[in-house]
Amino acid sequence: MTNSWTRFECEDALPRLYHFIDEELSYHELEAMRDHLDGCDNCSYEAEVRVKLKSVIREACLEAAPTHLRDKVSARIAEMRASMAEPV
Amino acid sequence: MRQPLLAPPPTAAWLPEPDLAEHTIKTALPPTWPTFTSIAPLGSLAMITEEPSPEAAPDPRLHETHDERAARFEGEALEFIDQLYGAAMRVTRNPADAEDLVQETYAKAFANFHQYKPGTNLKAWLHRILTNTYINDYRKRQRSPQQTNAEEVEDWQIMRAAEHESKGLQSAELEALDHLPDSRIKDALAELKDDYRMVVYYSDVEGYSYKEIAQIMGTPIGTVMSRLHRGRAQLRKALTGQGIGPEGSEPLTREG
Repeated sequence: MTNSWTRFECEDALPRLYHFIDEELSYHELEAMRDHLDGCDNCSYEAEVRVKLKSVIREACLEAAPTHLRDKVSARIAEMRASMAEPV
Repeated sequence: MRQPLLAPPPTAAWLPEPDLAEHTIKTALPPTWPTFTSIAPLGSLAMITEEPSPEAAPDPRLHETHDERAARFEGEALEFIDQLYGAAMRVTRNPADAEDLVQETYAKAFANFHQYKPGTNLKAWLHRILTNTYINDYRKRQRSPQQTNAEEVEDWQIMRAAEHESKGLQSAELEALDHLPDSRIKDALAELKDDYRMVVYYSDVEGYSYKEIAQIMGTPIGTVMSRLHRGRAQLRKALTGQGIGPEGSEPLTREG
């Protein structure tokens, strides 16, 4: 069932797929997108691949900073603090 | 069947409607479909320049000593060291430079901490300093040469490729993404132009909105969107060999 304002064909849906997966669609676009994906295998496959790509990139790129880096940063802040004059 | 009688309030335009999301996702899409909260935490939607709410505690900057400010900085800003290191690893592409960049970023952030408005998005403020520091201090003397522009990809090419692929090839692409080692994904990211790589990182890994990325990178929002689009299309081609032009129809090639 489409809403009464907007109906997406493939040429409307495809350029907005990244906006969809990045949660940047307006309310009405979101409705129309969901209705379109419901009935279109090509676009919903395309959306599925892009969501998967987004999630594998996220998982691959999560990093933990080395402990010694945290210590170095703290030491640098302490050093900067020590060289500051107290406010008068 | 749902037949909304009234338009929803405009303030809710950016928010997916929770029960709608639930219904559509479960009926129309595969189980791997993400929930909306899994991609961008709500906290990340606060704008960098947003004013703190009137009920917020009084501004601690007004009466604090240097020691108090240093303690507040350590308490609040060091919490994001993993996220800064992650961004630094992506821009510099090696651990030694990444560590230098994180240290420089924190030093600059501490020196300018009086300019940070409490209650606004501290992580985004730090990422903005990191990005500026990289552009001003590091990019000029980068060890590896700037990557060349890979071919740019348009939506119609993606669509044409998708239409021509058999169902078997389509599911093979998803499966290929599922089995990629992290190192392969990081290598593919490292091949992208700096500007493409960073928008992909800030969107996919940190979950920032387009508007926040525009503020962090100091570019118009349209530039963010086109870089994101092109960067992702190039990544997809590099990782699965699919998704664009004539190459999109070729069988997958796996390493090893």
